[in-house]
Amino acid sequence: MSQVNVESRPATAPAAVQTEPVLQVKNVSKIVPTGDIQLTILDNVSLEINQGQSIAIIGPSGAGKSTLLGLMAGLDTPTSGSISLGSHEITAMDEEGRARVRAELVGFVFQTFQLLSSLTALENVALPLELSGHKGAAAKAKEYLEQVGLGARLSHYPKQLSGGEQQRVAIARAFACEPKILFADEPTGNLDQTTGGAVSDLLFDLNDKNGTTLILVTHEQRLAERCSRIVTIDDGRIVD
Amino acid sequence: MLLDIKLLWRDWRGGQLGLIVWSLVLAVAVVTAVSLLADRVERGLNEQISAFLAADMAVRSGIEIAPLYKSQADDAGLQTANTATFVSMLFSSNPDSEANHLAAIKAVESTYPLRGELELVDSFEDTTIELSQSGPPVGEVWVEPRLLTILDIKVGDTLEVGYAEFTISKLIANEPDRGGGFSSAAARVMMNYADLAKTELIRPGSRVNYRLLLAGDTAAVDQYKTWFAELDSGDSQLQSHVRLQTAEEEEEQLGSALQRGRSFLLLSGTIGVLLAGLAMALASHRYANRLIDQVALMKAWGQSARRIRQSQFVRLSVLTLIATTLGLFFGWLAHWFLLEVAKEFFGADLPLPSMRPWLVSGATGIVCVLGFALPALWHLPAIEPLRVLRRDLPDSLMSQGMRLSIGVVALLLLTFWYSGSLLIAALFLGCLFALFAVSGLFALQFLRLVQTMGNWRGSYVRLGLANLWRRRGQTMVQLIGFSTTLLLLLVVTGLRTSLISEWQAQLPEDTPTHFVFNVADQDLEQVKSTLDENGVLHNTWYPMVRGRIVGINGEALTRERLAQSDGLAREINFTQTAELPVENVLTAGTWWGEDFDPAISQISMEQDVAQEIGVGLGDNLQISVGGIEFSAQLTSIRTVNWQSMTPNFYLIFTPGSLDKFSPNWLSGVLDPVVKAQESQAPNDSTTVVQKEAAFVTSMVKQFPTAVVLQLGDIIERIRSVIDKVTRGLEMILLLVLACGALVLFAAIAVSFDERLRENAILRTLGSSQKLVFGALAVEFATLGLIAGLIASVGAEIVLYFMQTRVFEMEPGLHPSLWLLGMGSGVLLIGALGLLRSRPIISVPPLQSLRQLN
Ligand SMILES: Nc1ncnc2c1ncn2[C@@H]1O[C@H](COP(=O)(O)OP(=O)(O)OP(=O)(O)O)[C@@H](O)[C@H]1O
Ligand SMILES: [Mg+2]
Repeated sequence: MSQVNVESRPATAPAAVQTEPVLQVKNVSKIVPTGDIQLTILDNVSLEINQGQSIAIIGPSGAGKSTLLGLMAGLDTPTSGSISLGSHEITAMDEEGRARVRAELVGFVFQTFQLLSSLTALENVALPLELSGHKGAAAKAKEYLEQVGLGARLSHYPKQLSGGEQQRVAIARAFACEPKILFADEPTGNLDQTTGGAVSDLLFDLNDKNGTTLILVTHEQRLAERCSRIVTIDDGRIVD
Repeated sequence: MLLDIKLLWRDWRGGQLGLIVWSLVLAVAVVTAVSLLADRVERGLNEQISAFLAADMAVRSGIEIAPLYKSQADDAGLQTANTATFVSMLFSSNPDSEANHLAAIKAVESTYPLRGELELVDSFEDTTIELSQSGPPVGEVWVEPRLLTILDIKVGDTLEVGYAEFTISKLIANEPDRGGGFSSAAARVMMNYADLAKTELIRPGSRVNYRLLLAGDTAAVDQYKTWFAELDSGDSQLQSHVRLQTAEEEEEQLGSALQRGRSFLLLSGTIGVLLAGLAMALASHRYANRLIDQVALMKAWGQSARRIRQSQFVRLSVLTLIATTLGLFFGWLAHWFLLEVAKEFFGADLPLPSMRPWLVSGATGIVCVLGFALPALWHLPAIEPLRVLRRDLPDSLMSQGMRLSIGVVALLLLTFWYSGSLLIAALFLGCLFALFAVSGLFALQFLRLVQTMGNWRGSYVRLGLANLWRRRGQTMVQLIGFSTTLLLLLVVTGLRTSLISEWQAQLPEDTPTHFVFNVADQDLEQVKSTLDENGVLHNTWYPMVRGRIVGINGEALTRERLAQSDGLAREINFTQTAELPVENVLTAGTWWGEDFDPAISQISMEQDVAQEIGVGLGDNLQISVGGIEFSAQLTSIRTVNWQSMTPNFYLIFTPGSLDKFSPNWLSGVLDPVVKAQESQAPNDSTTVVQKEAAFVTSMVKQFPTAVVLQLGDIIERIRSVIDKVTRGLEMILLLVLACGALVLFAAIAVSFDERLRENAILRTLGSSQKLVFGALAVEFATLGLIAGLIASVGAEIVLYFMQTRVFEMEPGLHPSLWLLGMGSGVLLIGALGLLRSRPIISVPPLQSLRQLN
């Protein structure tokens, strides 16, 4: 299952670790109206992440980790505060602008996988590549699926895969785009120790070789410890 | 673009598009089939018109055409040909055969036809068609092939027509002025015009259509038209009996009739479009729900809303293109079946269709997508990328009311386009929706009833009925779709199978079996005694002459006024009698009784005609019979029971008024033998080949001018026309029913996931597969039963109105329709429903749960 061969990965562009922040979060709050009361999910959060860093966001369930991740990835807008991705201040942009930034920089692994049920594993992985006009999308998708140990299940549909397998497809999909910044929400949440370990190997290998900035939300101590930084969130606030 | 097609293909593979595509295919197919048929028939008729005069124009009259008309044509340099058509009884010259036939005799001058050609063959087996520019020579007749079969004779035999004998020399495959084909009950016999007198069939008052065919260059034709119009505005007595028939005029008349026919057909197809649209809307809604995840993902990956709308556009366009093309193809296939029916009326080869039906149907596909599918998908590009993280986000779906209005507008647009009238379109849709509303109301009541019944039945009955009630929204949609279609099918079937025979069975015991007419004055006593000898009952004989009203109170009728009523525009039958005929009721004035002044002619007029032409008691009418005019005073107005199947007259004169026109005699007679045969099998439409009544043969042999019509034959002919028309309609409605099935499928699809989960849970909790299956079976069977019940009730109501209003007969119930309605409802919906929800039963519970998440 988990004979993930890190050595066999083709060498891509050498990692060029930069020091300027690739992600800046300044005084971000997220307040949502629920019924009569205003619910504060994030309260004045500030954070800076440099290119090539890996960072783990941990905290109890309901703390606001996924919300913060979504904000940083430009999927959502904060109630107040500003966020910059690369050289773009995404909080000053409209949705179309954010979409361009996402297309340029961002990759995700979703907590709920978000695989399309009518597409095979291969098609699921290839889809974002195809959308961005990538030539040889299928070949690349196949390559990454093999890396997560699913080389034999290319033409299987999500419903034919186990939860862990589905998660690995989701990871392969995020990797295949080779993004500058990868956001992963509980990437190993459904995996056993060995597979989980292999997946995190993959993550850090990507971080290593391509200089991909990793931003992970995780409950797993082992995964968090491999990151260069750990940020703890509780009740919408960063606690250090 | 390519990627979008790839995505579309994946959606299709995932089974999310099937219903949308098939709904679209069916909607387009229904419209294609119907409009192709209408178009071809229309073109066929139009083509026939241009050739149907066998000339450029024709002077028409019910009496012999005065020489003036021909000499004028000769002067103008036009070619001419006289023709005369009438019916006459012919009997077989074969000594072994008793057969006779009421044939359509046509006498033509040898110059006939002036335009077009006669198509002739030498024998039955002969397939080489010989074209002829002239009619039969003197002493010979050419006949339609079927006459040989009917009379059991062959080419070369002699044929007696009236008092003359002819040799059958050729068979007529086609003649240019055959006409619309509706009058094709009587077989054609064509003879030379010069032989007409020899037959002695034409007597004063005989019903003959004379025509003077004219052809020539445009200038000459126009000159003649002008001359004719001038004659019209003068007050020539002759002119009141003639009419100039031109191709354009015929085309115009036919045109409006055809337009009505086409919109009727298309409107019945619209019901199919409506149901398919409903199915499409339901399926599109489901498809849109499936697409939300995909769109949210695409957005998260940085695809712009524009790009996504573009992608939707490409996908929808490709889908529309493919489905519409398929629909056109299937519609084209289906139209051949409809054509089989149309052939009975319009002959074998109708011209190829024009572009119009293809355009109409193609556009129908596009309008369907815009009106039914697009509204459900419209919000997709606006889906927020955040949905990938938070699935509970609202999806800014277009409101249901909005989508409904768009759908209705689309339908209105289509019906308007089909019918060419906004009023008809609105009325039609209004009625349809009213029908839906009423059947919906019924459906709800039935559901309530059924639900309470479920409480004291076995477990799967309870489960099934509870399901029906719980998803009553969907249940209603399915019920309405199906019951409406079934209702229409039942009405049409009822019309075809029972109405005519019921009406026939209700005719009074003393209804005549035959009508004898064209009996010459000098033959009357002999005819009566022949009838007596054969035991045929007869009592009142009516003298009959043909003529027309030419003036009212001394004023000649204007063209405009002529056009107001049939009673003015054509020649009608007059009679004279001392006694008010039975089933006639006076509504104004007094009947003349016994002591009237024979010096003054009086008229009793049928109420509707009097109203139409605008005359009342005391008015003086100028009447022309064969060009001879006289005046008569209107002294009474009466109603007539047209259903009585006894001789009826618009105008009745005081005795003696018509004597000088040597009237022919007419009577309804009753042959007890035929009566007995008919009453034995009144409901059996297969007894078409009835043995000819004995008296008919001896009558025809003895009195060649007399014509005998069997009432049963007339009814049979009506029945066969209704039969064919309703069969055509049934075929269209079957297509509509298929659309109804799609609605069922779409509604099942809506609740499919939910059912899958419920049944999986039920089965995990230990319920047997049998229970789940049983509940589904009960659910669908009940649905079918209710749909059938609503349809039967509705059909019975429609038939009630037809019986009381159209046929003016005693209404009755039709248990066979109830059985048919409920039976087909249960079987159809039960089978389709179970078939469609098979996976719910067969997929192991764990697998279905997993499929869902
Ligand atoms: N739009 C919203 N409306 C109402 N409540 C919201 C909304 N978005 C987030 N929340 C609430 O904010 C809180 C934080 O949610 P979030 O998904 O960020 O938690 P999390 O830290 O990722 O938890 P977990 O570890 O369980 O995934 C939760 O209580 C959630 O219900
Ligand atoms: Mg979370």
